Amino acid sequence: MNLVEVKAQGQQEATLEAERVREIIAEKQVISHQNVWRKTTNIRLAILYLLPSIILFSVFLFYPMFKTVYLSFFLTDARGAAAVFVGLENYLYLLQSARFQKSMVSTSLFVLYTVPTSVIIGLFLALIANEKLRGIGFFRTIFSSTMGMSVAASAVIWLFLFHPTVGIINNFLGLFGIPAVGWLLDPTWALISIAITTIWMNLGFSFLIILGGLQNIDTHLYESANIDGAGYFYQLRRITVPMLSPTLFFIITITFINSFQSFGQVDILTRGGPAESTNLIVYSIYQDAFINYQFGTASAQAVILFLIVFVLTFLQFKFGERKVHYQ
Amino acid sequence: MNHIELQHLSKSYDQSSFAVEDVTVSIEQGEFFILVGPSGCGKSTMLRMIAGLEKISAGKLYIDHQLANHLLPSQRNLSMVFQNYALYPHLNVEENILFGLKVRKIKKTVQRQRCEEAAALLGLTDYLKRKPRELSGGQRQRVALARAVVSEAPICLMDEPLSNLDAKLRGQMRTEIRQLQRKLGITMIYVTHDQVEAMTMGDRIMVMKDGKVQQVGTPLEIYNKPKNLFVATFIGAPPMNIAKAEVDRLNKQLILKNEIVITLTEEQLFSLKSDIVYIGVRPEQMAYGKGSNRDAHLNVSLSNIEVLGNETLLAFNVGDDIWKAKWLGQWPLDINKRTEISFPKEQLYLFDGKTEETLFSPVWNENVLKEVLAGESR
Ligand SMILES: Nc1ncnc2c1ncn2[C@@H]1O[C@H](COP(=O)(O)OP(=O)(O)O)[C@@H](O)[C@H]1O
Ligand SMILES: [Mg+2]
Repeated sequence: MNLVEVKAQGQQEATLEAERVREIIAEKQVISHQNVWRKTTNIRLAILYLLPSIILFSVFLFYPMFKTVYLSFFLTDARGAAAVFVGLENYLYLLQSARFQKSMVSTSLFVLYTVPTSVIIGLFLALIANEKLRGIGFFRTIFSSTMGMSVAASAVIWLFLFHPTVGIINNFLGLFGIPAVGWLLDPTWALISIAITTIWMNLGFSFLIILGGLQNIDTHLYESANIDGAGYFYQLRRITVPMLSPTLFFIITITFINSFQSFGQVDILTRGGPAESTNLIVYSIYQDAFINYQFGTASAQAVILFLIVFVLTFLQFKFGERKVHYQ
Repeated sequence: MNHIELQHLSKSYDQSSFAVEDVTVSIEQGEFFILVGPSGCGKSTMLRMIAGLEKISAGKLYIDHQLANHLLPSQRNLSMVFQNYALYPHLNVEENILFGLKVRKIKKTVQRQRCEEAAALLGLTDYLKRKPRELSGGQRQRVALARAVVSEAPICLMDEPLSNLDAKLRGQMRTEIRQLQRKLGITMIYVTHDQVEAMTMGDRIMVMKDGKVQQVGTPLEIYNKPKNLFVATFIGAPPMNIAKAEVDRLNKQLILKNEIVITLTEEQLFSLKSDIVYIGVRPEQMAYGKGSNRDAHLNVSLSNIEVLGNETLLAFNVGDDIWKAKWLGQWPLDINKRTEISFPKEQLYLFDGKTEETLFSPVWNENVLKEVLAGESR
């Protein structure tokens, strides 16, 4: 018998079996005679449980979302009400606006600076905090402490650190004879300063999640590798990172989205300046909407931001997940 | 030739109590050596000290006559199979098997050849491209074994490798592991809490309790001449029946709780030093009926009967203790009636009431048996 015949026979057997199953079920099944009210008990119960979150989401998420999309097609009056329908004018205006383009460039750079750095430093801290040493709990607490700190508090701390004359950073550099840097005042440094602040703020969260991921890895894997004679970095590359890939993927995605949405630190440290070098997209939206009262263009920017984040996250899932080993 | 030698090996995790205390034993080349004992008695700790995964607190470990206390695990030339198999979930079967060889930078052609051989040996050839999660428990177990096989290490350590398998598979893997070990001629140190595995697989057994060695010997030595009460009850299924008894030296007899009286031989009486002893009888020595005057006999009411097809297990109370009898064949007895049960007095084990050391155990003449068998085959 050749392969095709075998396959055909297999299929035939499968259909015969399926027929038999269906016949027996049709013949022997016991039909429930409950009324509609009883039958839908589960569904009604499910809706009841879902109702609170459906209401909350609708009021605070879905409605604003639709309203934003709606507003992005209008020019608005000073109170933010839709005044004139302009179709895609707002979008066209934005795409040609030098200010918006600059904002997009800054935002992309900012994401590029913050995401890989946060994850790599978080991984490094988690690796050293995962060693079984005396007093390691203290370091774990310290490393994760920025998680419990508000954006405002963190930004204010860094505002002092970055201060051109009394800031610790410049004083420290001064010890080595390095001239003072205008961290927040110099357009070339301002974005980097904001990025440093953001990385510091992200660290607590990524550290904690990665540490959790590390502790979930079966220690026997390392013992087995030790018996085989694998060195530390070989184990890191061939065991730790692959085993951690779901965690890393999660952290990258979350940090990525967060970076796009950074606002508080910009507002407190630079207010988008100097020379708009730190005018990240969310800050730009805020300025358009609540300072210039241009709700139309602000909404259009919000929609663009949403689409960008959506598409990039989608791509991440599509291509990144292939490298992720779920257990 | 001795291959692994432990001298007064001890381990303390907390510096205030011993997890393993003063173990001295020598393991021969090519021997299947079993560490057995109840959970928490320090078997894994012992094994991990030999592997180099746990520091040795005191004592010396020799491998190939070389002091190995401070060698790295990879320098000890051994392989290890873990209870949960420790397979890398992100690597497929082939990569798992070859992990160690890749680390040691062994030539690709040699790697492929060894992998194919090991896979063929363990019936994994069709599964090489699968991930561990796509395998059944028994197949994962085989991958773990294959890893040990390809390493070609002369020593293999296994820590309860069969405890995650179902009973039938366990029986099958028992034989497979034993055959594999014989074929490859490796020195095996095998940890288990299961006395059946210990009895059926090992060349020699070391019984442990609370970190201390109770007895080292061949399976039959341990079964027939247990050193103390613990070993006697730990090895054998169902376990040896035990009851406390008082010694009545005047009438040369033992008196059990429920007024059962067992007369003793001179020899047995002579071995008794204290006035309280434990008596022990193996369930398979029990017989139905009153027996002859050389037998001790009990009149008991049965509390349970398990008919197992080819054998029957009966349970009954002797004093406060539940005793078991194991009889060949099917015995559909009436559970409500009293039953006469007897056992030969010379099959009695006697243990000291305080130290629990064995005072007397039945005659077991291995050499005579061997001669008889040899005579038959001639
Ligand atoms: N890493 C450890 N730290 C502290 N105590 C341990 C550790 N591992 C085992 N122990 C203790 O040592 C004793 C022996 O454990 P173990 O060798 O795992 O027993 P077994 O393998 O025979 O079940 C137990 O009392 C256990 O609590
Ligand atoms: Mg153990």
